Amino acid sequence: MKRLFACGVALAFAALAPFTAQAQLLQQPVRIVFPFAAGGGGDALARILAEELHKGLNRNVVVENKTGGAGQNGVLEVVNSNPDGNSLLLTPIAPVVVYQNVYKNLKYDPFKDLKPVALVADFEFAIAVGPNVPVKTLPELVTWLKANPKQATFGSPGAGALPHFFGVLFGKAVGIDMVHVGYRGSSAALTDLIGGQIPIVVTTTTDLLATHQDGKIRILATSDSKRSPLVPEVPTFKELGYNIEGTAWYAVFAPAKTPDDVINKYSKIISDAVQRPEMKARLLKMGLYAKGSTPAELGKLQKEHADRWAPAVKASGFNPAK
Amino acid sequence: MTDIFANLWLGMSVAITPTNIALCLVGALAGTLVGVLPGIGPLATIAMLLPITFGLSPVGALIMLAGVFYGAMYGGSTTAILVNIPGEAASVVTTLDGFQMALQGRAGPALAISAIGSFFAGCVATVLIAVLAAPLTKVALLFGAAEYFSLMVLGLVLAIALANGPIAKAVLMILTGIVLSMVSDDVQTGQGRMTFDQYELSDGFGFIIVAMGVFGVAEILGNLMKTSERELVTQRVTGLMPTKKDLADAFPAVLRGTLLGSFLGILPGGGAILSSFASYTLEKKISKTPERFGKGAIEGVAGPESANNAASQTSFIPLLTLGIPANAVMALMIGAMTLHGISPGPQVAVKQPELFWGLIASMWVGNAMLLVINLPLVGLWVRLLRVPYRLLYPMILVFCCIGVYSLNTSSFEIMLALAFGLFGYWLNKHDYEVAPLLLGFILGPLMEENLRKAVAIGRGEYLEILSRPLTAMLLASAIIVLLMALLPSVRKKRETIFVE
Amino acid sequence: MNSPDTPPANARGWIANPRDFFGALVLLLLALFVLWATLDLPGQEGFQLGAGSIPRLFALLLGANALLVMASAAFTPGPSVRYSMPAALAVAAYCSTALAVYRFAGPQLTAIYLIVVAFLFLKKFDELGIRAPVFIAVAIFAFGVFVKPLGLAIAVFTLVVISAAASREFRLVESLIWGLVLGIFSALFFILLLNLPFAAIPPVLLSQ
Repeated sequence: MKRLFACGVALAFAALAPFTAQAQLLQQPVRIVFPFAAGGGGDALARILAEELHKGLNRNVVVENKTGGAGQNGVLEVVNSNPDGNSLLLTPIAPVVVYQNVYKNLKYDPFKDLKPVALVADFEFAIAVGPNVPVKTLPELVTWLKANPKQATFGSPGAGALPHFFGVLFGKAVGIDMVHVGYRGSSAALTDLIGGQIPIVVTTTTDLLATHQDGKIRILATSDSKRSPLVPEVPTFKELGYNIEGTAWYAVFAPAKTPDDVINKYSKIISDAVQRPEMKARLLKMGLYAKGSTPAELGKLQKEHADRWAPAVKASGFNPAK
Repeated sequence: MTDIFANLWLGMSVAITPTNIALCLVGALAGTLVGVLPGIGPLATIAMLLPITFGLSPVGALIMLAGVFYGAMYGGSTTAILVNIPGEAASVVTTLDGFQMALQGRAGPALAISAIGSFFAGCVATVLIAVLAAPLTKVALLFGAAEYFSLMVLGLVLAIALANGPIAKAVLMILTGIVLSMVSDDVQTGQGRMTFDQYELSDGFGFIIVAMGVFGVAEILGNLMKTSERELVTQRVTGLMPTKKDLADAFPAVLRGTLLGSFLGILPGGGAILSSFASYTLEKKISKTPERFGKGAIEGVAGPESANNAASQTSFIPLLTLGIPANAVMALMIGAMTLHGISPGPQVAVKQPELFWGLIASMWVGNAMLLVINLPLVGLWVRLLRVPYRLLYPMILVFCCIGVYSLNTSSFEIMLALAFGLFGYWLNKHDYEVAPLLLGFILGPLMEENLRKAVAIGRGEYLEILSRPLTAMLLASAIIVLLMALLPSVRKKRETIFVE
Repeated sequence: MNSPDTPPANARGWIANPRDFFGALVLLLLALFVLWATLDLPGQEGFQLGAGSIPRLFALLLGANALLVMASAAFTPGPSVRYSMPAALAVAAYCSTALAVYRFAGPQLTAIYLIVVAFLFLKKFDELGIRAPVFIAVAIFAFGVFVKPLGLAIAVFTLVVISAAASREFRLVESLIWGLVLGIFSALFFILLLNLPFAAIPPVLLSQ
């Protein structure tokens, strides 16, 4: 029995070894800081990038989850790191695009304290209604909401996240005062939507996809300027005559003083990696459209989006500092 | 009906090949070995071990993951029994009687019965998923924010029954847990509550931090203050396997726990968390000798452990029928599946039946592996207790500290765990039990969030919100349970006063 | 930092059940603290509950319940708890000097100060009956302070050796060996095998 056990342990460790043998105890690793907890979709993306950077640089690359302050803590960790090219930040859009408008005492300047490296992937939002809402199109929803103002409540995966602001943007565009209910993640909001507990949910298209295809809920519109490849039959807000648009993305940044040649090297590795067909397919399964970009392109995008979201943040009245 | 068995057969034929069984075995072993380290809960274990499944075929990866999942879950219970540190919310209750059994030299039977009970519960729940997944989903959808709020209220009231001492002190501990849980950024408005602009506090105190403190560190402090007793009890180990009487005592509890857990596991808004201590409360209430609970009653281990495993199994139901993960561990599993190109959801059953049924079968295989690995391991774990305490406790501290540090690479959080340790020691010294505190800590935020969601959705019309049939029913039962718990103690107090 | 043995003087005598009483007293203080800390949070706004509503409600419930338990403990006899004034004073002196060091010299020197004092006054702490809490607290504190600048192996070694001294069965050589074993094991297991993002040795020594 003892020998069996010893064999088992050896087997388990042997299975672990090949995947981590490269990890070197004595060499400084490149670390990718991800400002949210392990386990979510973004975290998986960080781990995929780590694998690619490891292949491209032939160095040990680790993912460090640094949570807190809805992402602020992780960004700050990178901002305060040595700009030696050993610290990178993989972040969703919000901490580097809207937080300067949300948090009055934000401890970093997303434009001055960080240097863009590469855009990794983007995705869009969608608005969906549950089984109790008798509408098939977005204009019908607007009419229905005007007739039933008490039903003008929408759920989002979290207060202060972009879907929250996008819902507010929608309410403003159609002239309805929407009450926001923040959930902890899309799953909880979706459960309530399917169960008819809440009429409307705004979140990423991916999170709504499976239940939409199953007919339990209905996606009425998507938020990009062009139709979503995931649900090509659904029109965009713009097509329907509502002038609102919004996409979100994941991108890599580095501390501001990181040398340009290092930044360019990383940018190329990441962009090339996500452009590979099998990687594109892998990301699409996670609901992400692979992008890749030069540092300059990402910088431009960051500024554009910051201008776009500023009015929505203001209109939402979301202000944690009060 | 034959359909279902044809489907299960299909699943088994996918899952049960020599390679897949070997993969599951390795997964379960790795999951157990990492999960058993105090301070490293199932969530961290699965996240750490995820890379070992890269490079496998989707089915192979899935089966290995199932192994890791059950191994990690069981690892959490093992530490609860051996060293009184719960690895996750569900094993808080296991510490109550499991650790007491270990102190009496019965760690072996406690570990064995929890493996056996888990396996039994896993088998039943697997069949339940195959047969009843669709109708059970409808039940889950009846629960909105108002219903979850009242369910949590009922849960908190039930938590009172966990304590052995006076009710007032148990209530005090639950309230303390709730109050501590409110340190965090508010979910609805993002405002910091008692966070003092510390980022580490914005998501609240982590469960691992609180558990490591009030259980891990406080327990070690308590033991060091009275070293002699501990040395004595660990010397006499009586038998590794449960006796016939143990099995006879435990079996009804396993059965009830399985039923309770299977039902509560379906509710994605935190039902699974309630399952283990709802089962404990039930066992204590219907027992002819409730005074044995908290002093090493085997039913107090068998019931909750079965309930917990049944619930973790049936919490796959919303995932399979709706594509919605019921908890953080489930969400991690989904993430892992997507990495392998499987997106779980209602479509999977139709489009990729071999995957869907393979997954269900792999749950069963995972459970079986758990039994295969853990019954032989019981001897090893028990021997671990014979390591002199002066060597054991520094090792426990090492794993606790590394576990806390691995969450967020934050030194501040280690200091928090230390502070909770001193607080827990103060409470223990004054005979205040920490298990109800931890339950209040877990259920408190769920209750508040759901109440606020219900009020927002119902536009502040409290009467309408509270008179929804299920809500009213759950709240009424909470009140009845509370009265039942309070009345005897009031009467008793009056008696003692009169006696004086 | 609070020592669990901070005693109110004359604990016995005028309180019938000091164990329940002083346990609840801490919780009453906690409730008051929470009430104070949530004062600036908004309550009900329109029909929505505010960020402060529920925390204040439960802090009030906690405070009231704690008072109830204290009131009943004041008159119903129960077991006593041993508090020691000298121990409390020692802890107070220890913590306040450490705080002063922290203020002027930062966390790492504080940890070193705490360790040195703990070992110098080992006998004294033992006589006062606070050897275990002092050494365990110092060990964890040192781990937290050292793990980043010195790496996991050294931090684990320190944690093991200091925490081992919390027990009366402390054997120096044995604990040094045990610390070495666990330090090496942790580095291999958590960093090499599980690939956690910690440094094994002081990061300054890592090659680029």
